[in-house]
Amino acid sequence: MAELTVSSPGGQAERVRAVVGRSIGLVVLLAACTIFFSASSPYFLTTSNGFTLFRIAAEAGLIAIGMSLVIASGGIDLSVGAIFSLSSVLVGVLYTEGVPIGGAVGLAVLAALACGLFNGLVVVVLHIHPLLVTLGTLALFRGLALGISDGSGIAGFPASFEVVGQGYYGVVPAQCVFWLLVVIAAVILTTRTAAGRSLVAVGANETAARFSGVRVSLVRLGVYGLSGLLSGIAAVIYTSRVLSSRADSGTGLELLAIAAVVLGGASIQGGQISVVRTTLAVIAIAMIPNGFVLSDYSTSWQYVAIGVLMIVAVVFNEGLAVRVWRLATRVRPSRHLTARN
Amino acid sequence: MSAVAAEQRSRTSPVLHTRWLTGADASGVAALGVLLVVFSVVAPGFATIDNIRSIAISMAVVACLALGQNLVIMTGEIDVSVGSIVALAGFVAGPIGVRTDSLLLTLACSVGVGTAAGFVNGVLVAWTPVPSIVVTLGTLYVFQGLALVVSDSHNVVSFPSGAGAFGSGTVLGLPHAIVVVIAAFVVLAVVRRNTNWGRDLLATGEHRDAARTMGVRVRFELMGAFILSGLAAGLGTVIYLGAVGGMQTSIVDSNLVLQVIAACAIGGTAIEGGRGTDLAPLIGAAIVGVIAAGLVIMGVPGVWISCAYGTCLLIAVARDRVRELVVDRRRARG
Repeated sequence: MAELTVSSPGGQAERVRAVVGRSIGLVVLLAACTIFFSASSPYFLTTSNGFTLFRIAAEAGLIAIGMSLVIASGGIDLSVGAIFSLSSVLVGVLYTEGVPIGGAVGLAVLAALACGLFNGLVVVVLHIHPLLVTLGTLALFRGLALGISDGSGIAGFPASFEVVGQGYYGVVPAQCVFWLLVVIAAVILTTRTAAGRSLVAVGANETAARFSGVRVSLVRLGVYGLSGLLSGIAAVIYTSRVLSSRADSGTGLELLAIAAVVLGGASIQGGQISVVRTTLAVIAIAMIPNGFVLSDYSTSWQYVAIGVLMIVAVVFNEGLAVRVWRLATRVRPSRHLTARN
Repeated sequence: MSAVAAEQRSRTSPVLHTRWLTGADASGVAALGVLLVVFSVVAPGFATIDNIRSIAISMAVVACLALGQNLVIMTGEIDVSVGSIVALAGFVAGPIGVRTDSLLLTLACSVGVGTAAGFVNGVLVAWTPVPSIVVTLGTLYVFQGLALVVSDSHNVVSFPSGAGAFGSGTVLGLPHAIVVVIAAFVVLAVVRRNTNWGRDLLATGEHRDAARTMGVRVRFELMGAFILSGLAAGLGTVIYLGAVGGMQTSIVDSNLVLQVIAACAIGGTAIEGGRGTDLAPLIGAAIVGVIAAGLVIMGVPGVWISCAYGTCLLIAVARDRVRELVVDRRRARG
């Protein structure tokens, strides 16, 4: 609720406290992971591994930012992985059909934007639950990717394309710079613009937002469009990084992005957003497989670790520890008044 | 709390109040009928007993999981971990089935694992303030990881026919898989209509605070729904092992859970909770299966199937909304 307390009379101090309170669990988690993996592997806490980790996390990071916008507005987007694979395939197919690589990339990103806008349009016009809409378009977009690529992988990209996913500015990988720019843009959008306030307002209370003059449909359309666009950009980076495009790329990305947003402390019901916390959560999630491999632990356990961390972090975020403490230290007046959930 | 539930509560006799086909199922049944007719006309060879039997077997696993998921969705929650539960139950019970060839032992292990997993979900949803989509997303990763740990990267192969009897073989011309799913449906429907727990499920989903004030034990409702969802996943695993003849570690990447949720939604259960029928998951699974099989027989190239399938899915979930729009417009005009 950090962003909603802006209008409360508490002022700056309370705002800072609210932001710190929400982030503290995540920071502790990140620090704990770093210390644990540094202790178990000498290769973990090195600059080169750090950049490797960020290089791979950038794609999920971009998608998670889009997802955090969608979830903040009270929606959900299960189709991001499918849009990702469709854009990746489009880059490959367009290039092999003779379109210059720059044009192919541009068209693929535009197609991703169009896919996102299509999601938004169906949600807005037909008023179907976004979970169902994007479940349908997940099958649709991945199907398009499969059909267009004829189910086979595409390789043989020109050397000039490598700069996106394999280039470096000094020692910093190119995609980390893109990622940082998008994070900054998204932070400005969500904290400093009317559009950002509107999208949180729509997620917090749609009716109130409508009566306050927020154009709810436009906001909805916008967040799904942005989510699609960011998936498309992530797909271009991925395609350049691995230099091949396949229709089965990006499976499970939607769940990973949702996990990051939730681990970042945002409510799945909408009305809350923090781009920075979502980004920290993506890094935490990326750290786990990286650390597991470097420390020579069985990789199967990494999923268990991610799941357990997620549940623990969210329970912690929801202040369960505090609530349990309060319940234990006072007499409960009435069963019905105190019972929650 | 709906009037229907109150009325049902007032009937004290344990007679089965069975209106198996309610008005809410009509649009789903109609959609299924239209699809069957269309495919029979445009795809010669569609309307054969063999084909319909093979559709039914292929959809039995989804239908079984959807029966449990349907209860969870009725309460306004969602269980996205069922795909991982199938993987976990499969890799625990699979090797046991291969070694002993005993259906009973396989069933006990699989259903036991499924129920335990459902219990974990239920406890977390009912006793923590965390929304169910987040809880089950977390347990999705946990169960998936445990499945990979248990499997030790070995697939379950050459599953014996004795332990896999639920997935193969027929009785009186009906495949065992169908008999199992229908039996599960009948048991669930009877329990849901004739116990307080079952009748209060929809009230819990419709308006939780109101239901609680009326005396509905919300935690009991949620626990039951999630445990049964896990149990159904365990049962579905036994069908899967028999029908497919094993289980591969790649199952953890499959989008089984999305098909299951789609089946419930297409069948007509409202994803927001509070509205749904017992038959919805079966109708939904049948629609999904008919579309998939019909497209293959029509000769749609394999790579385009998912595309057409997605389009049909969108149309299926949009049908009620479109009908409402049309009816409203007509009313506004008239």
